[in-house]
Amino acid sequence: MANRGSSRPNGVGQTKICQFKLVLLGDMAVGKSSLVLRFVKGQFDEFQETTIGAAFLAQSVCLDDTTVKFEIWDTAGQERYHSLAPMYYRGAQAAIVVFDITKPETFDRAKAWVKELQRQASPNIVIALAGNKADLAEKRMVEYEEAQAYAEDTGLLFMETSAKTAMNVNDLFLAIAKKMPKTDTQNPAHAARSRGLNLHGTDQQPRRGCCGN
Amino acid sequence: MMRTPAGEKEQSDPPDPCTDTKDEERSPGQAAAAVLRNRLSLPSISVLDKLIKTCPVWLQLCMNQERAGELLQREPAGVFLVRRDENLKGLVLSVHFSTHDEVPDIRTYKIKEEKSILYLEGSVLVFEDIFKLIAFYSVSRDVLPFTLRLPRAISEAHNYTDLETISNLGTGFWDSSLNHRGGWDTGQHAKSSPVSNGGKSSQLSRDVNQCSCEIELSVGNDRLWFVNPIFIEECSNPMPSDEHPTESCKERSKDRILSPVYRRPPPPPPPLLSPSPQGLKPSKEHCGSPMSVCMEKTTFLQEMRRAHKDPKSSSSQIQKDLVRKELPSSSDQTPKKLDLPTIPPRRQLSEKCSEESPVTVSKMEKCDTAKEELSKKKHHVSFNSPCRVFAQDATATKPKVNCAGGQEKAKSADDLPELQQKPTERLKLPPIPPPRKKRLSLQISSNTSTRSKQSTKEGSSQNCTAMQSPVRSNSQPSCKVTSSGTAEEAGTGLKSLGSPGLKCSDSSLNSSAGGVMLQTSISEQDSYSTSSTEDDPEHLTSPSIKKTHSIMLDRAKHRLSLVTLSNVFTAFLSADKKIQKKITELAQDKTSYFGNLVQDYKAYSLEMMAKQSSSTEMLQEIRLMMTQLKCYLIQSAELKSIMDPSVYSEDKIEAIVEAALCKCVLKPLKHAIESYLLEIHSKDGALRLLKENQQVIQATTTTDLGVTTSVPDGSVMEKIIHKFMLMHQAYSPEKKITCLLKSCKLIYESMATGNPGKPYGADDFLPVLMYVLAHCDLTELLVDVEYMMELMDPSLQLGEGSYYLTTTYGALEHVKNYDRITVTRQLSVEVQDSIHRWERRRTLNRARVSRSSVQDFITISLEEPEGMSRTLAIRPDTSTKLLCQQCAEKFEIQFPGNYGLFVLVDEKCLRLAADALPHQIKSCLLKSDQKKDFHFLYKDMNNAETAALPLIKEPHSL
Repeated sequence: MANRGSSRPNGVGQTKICQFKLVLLGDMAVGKSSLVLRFVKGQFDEFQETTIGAAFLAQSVCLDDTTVKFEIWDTAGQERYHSLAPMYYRGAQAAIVVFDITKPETFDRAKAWVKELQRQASPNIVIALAGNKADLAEKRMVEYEEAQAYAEDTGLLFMETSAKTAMNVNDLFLAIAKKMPKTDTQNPAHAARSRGLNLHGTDQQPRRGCCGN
Repeated sequence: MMRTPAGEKEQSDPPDPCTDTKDEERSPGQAAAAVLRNRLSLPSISVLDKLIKTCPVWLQLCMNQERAGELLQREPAGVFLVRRDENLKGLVLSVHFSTHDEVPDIRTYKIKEEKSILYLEGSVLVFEDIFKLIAFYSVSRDVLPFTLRLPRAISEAHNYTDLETISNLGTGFWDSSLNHRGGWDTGQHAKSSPVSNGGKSSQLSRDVNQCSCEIELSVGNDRLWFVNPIFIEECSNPMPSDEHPTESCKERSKDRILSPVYRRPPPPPPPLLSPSPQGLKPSKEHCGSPMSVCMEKTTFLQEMRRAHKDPKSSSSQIQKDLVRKELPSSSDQTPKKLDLPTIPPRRQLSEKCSEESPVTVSKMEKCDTAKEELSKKKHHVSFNSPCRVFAQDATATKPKVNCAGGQEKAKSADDLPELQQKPTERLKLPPIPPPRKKRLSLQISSNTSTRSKQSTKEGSSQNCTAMQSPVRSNSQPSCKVTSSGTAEEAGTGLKSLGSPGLKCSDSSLNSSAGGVMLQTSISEQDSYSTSSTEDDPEHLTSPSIKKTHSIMLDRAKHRLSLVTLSNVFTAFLSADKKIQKKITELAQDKTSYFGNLVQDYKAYSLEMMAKQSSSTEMLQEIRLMMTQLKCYLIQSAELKSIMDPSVYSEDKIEAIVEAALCKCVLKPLKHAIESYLLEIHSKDGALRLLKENQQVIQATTTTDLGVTTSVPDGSVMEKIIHKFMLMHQAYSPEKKITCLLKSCKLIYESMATGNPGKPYGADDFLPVLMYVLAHCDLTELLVDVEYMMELMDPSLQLGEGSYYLTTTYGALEHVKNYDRITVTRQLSVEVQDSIHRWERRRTLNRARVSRSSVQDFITISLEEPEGMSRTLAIRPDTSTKLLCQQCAEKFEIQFPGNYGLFVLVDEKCLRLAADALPHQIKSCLLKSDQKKDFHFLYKDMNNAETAALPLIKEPHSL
């Protein structure tokens, strides 16, 4: 009905909302969770969704007329749980493969993840490589250039980040957001449905609308 | 109900039934034809829709009082505006209520808002929104002096384009040329006679009648009556055009043409009566006057009441009285209706306008006629929802009753208890398949054809019957319902209305209800003893068996005592919950199409489950079924009669429907689903693996599991296990997921013990989850996880729920394959894929659901309506040709070239042209106010009979 819109409380307006599943991969203790927590709890506070724990986090970023909402799925980095990873990265539209610049074996593991993603995940998945713990530059064991060259070769986004200093954290997510195809997922009408189950009895939907930056 | 004494009527009936109508300038035949055209071919738009469409015109929140007065005083009485009053700080309803043409009387009524409800100050009737409120007051007066009236252009608009044009004008409409009041109200406004205004006087007279007809519910201060005008509208609208309550004068005049019985000698002009029924008690002597009608009713009802108290002793006397009083007046009622059948082309607005013109007949006469016919209309308004079963209910009821003859009064009284018990009995019957075979139309047509003029004896008593149980009397041809007997029946009906034990008007008694749905009996049939708000329209309308205030008060009190509790109770439920409940009730109503569908689906699921060897496929079947039910319901008229879809967002509606479906489908199936899942998993060895490996893991150290944090201690474990138990008990997947999340939250909390504030990611969480699972009932958990994953509403983006569900599933698989993993370090490819497939299913389902607004289902039967039938998904742009191809596949037809798609509408069979759009035709049929019984048939065209059937391309040629 024509006047239907007027009775809707939904004030989404014209902002397009795209929602993406982003999976975090990387060896144990490379700082996957910290990285994401820095992003989620960082400057975009108003877009943060409360979650019961840090293994699943949600955060939205604004890009011009589009709000990109990331559902961030963390994976267990232990080798023994490696076999469960496909359950997480299947269907993900973005992945951040994290390694610790002070631990070269984590970089090798990261490369293995990238390879696996490129082989088994969605063909158009956006993969970002994050060299975390960049604040520990004095203990660096993986050279920036090396990782950069690898990323270029394999067509990845690459940034060195520091969850501790927040260096490049938001930039990384913004870069991913910009690379995401904005056409799919949801139109605003359906976005309203993306009510996660919440335990707090309050509406945890991120406030939508442009944050202005 | 307002039958005048017969003698008077007969002697004074004008020879030509049409001369006293407004269409005088046309020949009666023309006018009648126009009416018929209108009636038969135009699916009229509901008042509510019209209101919603045109709110820019009448909803003027910024308009001040002066301006509103200015606009309204030029309008006919009853025309209104809703605005926001600066002083009163709320909505007000401004209505033009002129008692005399010279004195425009603009009255303002406060619209009170309380939480989510609206009501007119002084009224006990509450509404969910302003549209419903206005729609209701367009049909029924309640505390207003008379009903509201839409501007003529709006009430006469027959398509959305017209409405849009009007709507686009906004305030400008009032001054535009579209707003033609001429020849109808304002035109006559100038005339000096107070009663010269046909339209208005009819309006007034209607109100006069309504004074006696309306239930006066102002008992106490509680707002008990949550009113959904859709019911009233639909009930009041058994015939699409002529009964439409807010249809313009024009429509009424048509009505008049069709029911010449109401013509009577010109009575004195009706005085404007105050809503107080006291004003409606003139002496019996003024039989010809409108008052007398009320009076008669009063007496009648008093008698009814007496009869109600002491049925045996007084009933026959009442019946005699009634026969004496009522019968003759209606004797000429039907003949005209026999003229119904012609099918004329669509009527144009312009044509209608030309019909409107100066009146040649005595105004008094006109006014009287209008009044009578309005009272007639009122009867329809007072119909309970069952009438929606069939537009022709009223018509259909008559013949049967009539043929029973007029003398068996006492007997009929005895028959009543039996009648009334039927519905209750039915409750125990197993689900019946959707009644698709019989068509009321058939009966009606035969009834109509055999009906003689003589037969229409049912006076107001008949109307009472219709009100109480139109279908019942219709469907009980054998019962000795006499015209007078029906009066008694009505009396009993009153009783039955008041006593929850007695279910009146189970419209399903006769399958003639067809595929058309009714709402009424839902609340009676469901397992919820609390009367739902669905009862309200009934409460509201049934009392409109015209009666006087005092009686009404008694009645109201009587019934209030019985319904108060439940109504108050439901009023406190949230609106969503109420709708959910109503849907659940509908699903349990085996007489509704949806109810049948649900029952069929459930029965089918049980059969299907027994055959499945894959848990995923089994659950997917059920999910698909639910999604289909949801799609159906969301688009169905049945849902629209429960809730106003315009008030809720699509998502909201979907969420409500989903929750209701969980209750009425999953809840009853849950146990069976679980047992079959267990069976499947004991066969495939999953349960054994889980058990064995669980012991292995229990013996493993936390370090070996990868745990780096603290793990839940005994008491937390107990809590977690309790949450899992609650999860297992829940039938709703959504509820289960909530429980799962709560468990996970407990795990996080226990992890943080000794290290508060440190956020834990998956590296930390998964090992602890493994540890926890090793101490839980993995069998139940496996069943629950599958249940959640597959039965979850696919349109719901789980987010967090999805993550933890995946994690739990992964953990379970990890347990299941624990040994193998330690050897191969890999989960099986199948397991790895399963989540992927699940994701895809969800994505696909989601896409499907999000498209559901444009996708529909169509049930097609092979050869005959009762033949094998298949439900196919169609889109609005699916052509008949394409659908035929689908049919050929579904029905496994060898030579599809010989087959064609047909639509059977009320016994008339038409072949769909290859490029016709079945969806369009179906929607048109569904939207038709006059509920049509229709079936799509896939038939062999290779015989003369089918070959000769007419082709149809556009829905309006139906």
